[in-house]
Amino acid sequence: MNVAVLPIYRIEKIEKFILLQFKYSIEDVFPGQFFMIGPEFIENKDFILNRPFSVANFERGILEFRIRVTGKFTKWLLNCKKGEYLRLVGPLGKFVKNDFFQKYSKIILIGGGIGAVPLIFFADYLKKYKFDYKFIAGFPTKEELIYLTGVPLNDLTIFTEDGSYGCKGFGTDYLKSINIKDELIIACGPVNMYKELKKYEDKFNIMVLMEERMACGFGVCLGCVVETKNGYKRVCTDGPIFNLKELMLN
Amino acid sequence: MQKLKVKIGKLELNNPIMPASGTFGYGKEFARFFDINNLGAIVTKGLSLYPKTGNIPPRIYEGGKYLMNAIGLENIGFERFLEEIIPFYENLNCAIIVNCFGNSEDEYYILAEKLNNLQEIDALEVNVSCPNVKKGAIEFGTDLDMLYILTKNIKKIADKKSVIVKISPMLSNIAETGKVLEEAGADAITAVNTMKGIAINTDNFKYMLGNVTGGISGQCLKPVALRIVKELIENISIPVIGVGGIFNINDAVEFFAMGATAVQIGTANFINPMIMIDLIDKLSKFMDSSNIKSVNEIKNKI
Repeated sequence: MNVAVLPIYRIEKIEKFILLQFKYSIEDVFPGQFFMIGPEFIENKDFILNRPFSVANFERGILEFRIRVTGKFTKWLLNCKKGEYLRLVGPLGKFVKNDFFQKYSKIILIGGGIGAVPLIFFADYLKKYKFDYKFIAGFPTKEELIYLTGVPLNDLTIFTEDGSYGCKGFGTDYLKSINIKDELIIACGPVNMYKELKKYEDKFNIMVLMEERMACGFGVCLGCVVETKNGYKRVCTDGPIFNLKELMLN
Repeated sequence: MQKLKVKIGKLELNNPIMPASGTFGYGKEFARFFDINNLGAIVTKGLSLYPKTGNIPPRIYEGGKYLMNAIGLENIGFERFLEEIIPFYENLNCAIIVNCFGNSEDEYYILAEKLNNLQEIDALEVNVSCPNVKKGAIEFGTDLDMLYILTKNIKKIADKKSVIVKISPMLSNIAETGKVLEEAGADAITAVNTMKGIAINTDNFKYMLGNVTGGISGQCLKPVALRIVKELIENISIPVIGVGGIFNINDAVEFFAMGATAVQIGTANFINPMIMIDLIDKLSKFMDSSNIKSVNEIKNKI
């Protein structure tokens, strides 16, 4: 966990999608972790807080983020250029490593919308360490496939709600067709998707990545709590990865 | 550095920069970013006798130039503080200020007594100004008779510690409040806590915060805090610790110009966890370049 002010190494903008890269060598980064990102100087901005972004990949010293433009922060980011300095606080959050995955015969990654992004990093990691895994991603339409720009789609099973690409339906529909014990599911997407996954929580081991508004990202503001069976937990430091069974999902 | 040293009650601080309660946890998280001994003091998250679960989410909302929070004083309570945090403080040599509050008058006193017995702790910052809890805290700060009794008794109970009282920016009688606190024996006043406010999402007509109301911090709090520091300084002679919207060295110097002895950094810690270290360095440079020999001299500039 460090604070670094780094120049943008690469920034690609495709409509409302930003691919952002930094050269990063301060410490190792693992799937499921995130960074708080913000401008070097907050003067003359119409926001003050950094924003949390999941790591989309970390390979050969290149730290990658894939960002959907939705609000004032991401609209500001849209105007940033290569070489511009941004503040990065991180890597933050819990992560799972080799020994954790070894307990399972197969790992299924299910992404919903922009939630597919952190799973790209999981997929690369699992591939690198030769785990048996499957990567499912569901989107409303084929337009959202933009989030996977540069990712070989052959390795994925894609669902679209309108059937404009891949299978018609939701990413979670994939689970209807399988019935194997000792599988681990790692999911990232909207809360409604997690509510659907609750139906399968007795059948599979399901881990999900949570998101909340947060001020600091490193455990002090207590702003990003989610309700669990064991009381409020911080998404930033107790998560972002949680066992689905633990979450109340109100 | 001699020129940065300031005195607050019995405390001699190496410099006048410290975190605002609630933006620094208990210090462990920031210790991963830098050596927290370099701060003038550390100020803990508000502590109560018993653990508190805090408010329902969402707990934070960011407006243009402000942050609104309704954490609800979530904290681990005294017993866990003693077991998990105090051993961490044994190895620190900066001043340790514990922000504390009670749900009742008695809870303030019991906690004060327990904290008084801990040699690792240097001062109590008594919270009588949190806008985010239904019971406790702020009502003790708005009733001047109550505030006098509470402060006087805590001062008597915590006789080994300096006692600082943190006040709300929503008081209409700042001068009078200051005088009451000074008379009750407070060693210093922290001014100010957050302002109570509301934000609404007009897309769905829901409140932005689960608690409906929240405490406003950030840049927009600064002018209010500066005015309150000035009113206090003009009416009392105990030190005032200024807090509210400090994001850079100019902001900090404004508080010293109003007569603050020290300043606390709050919201800005969330954005740049290194900011306090940066400000210590910049304050030293500012004083050198302006030929100012002590922090208290800054107020003579205005």
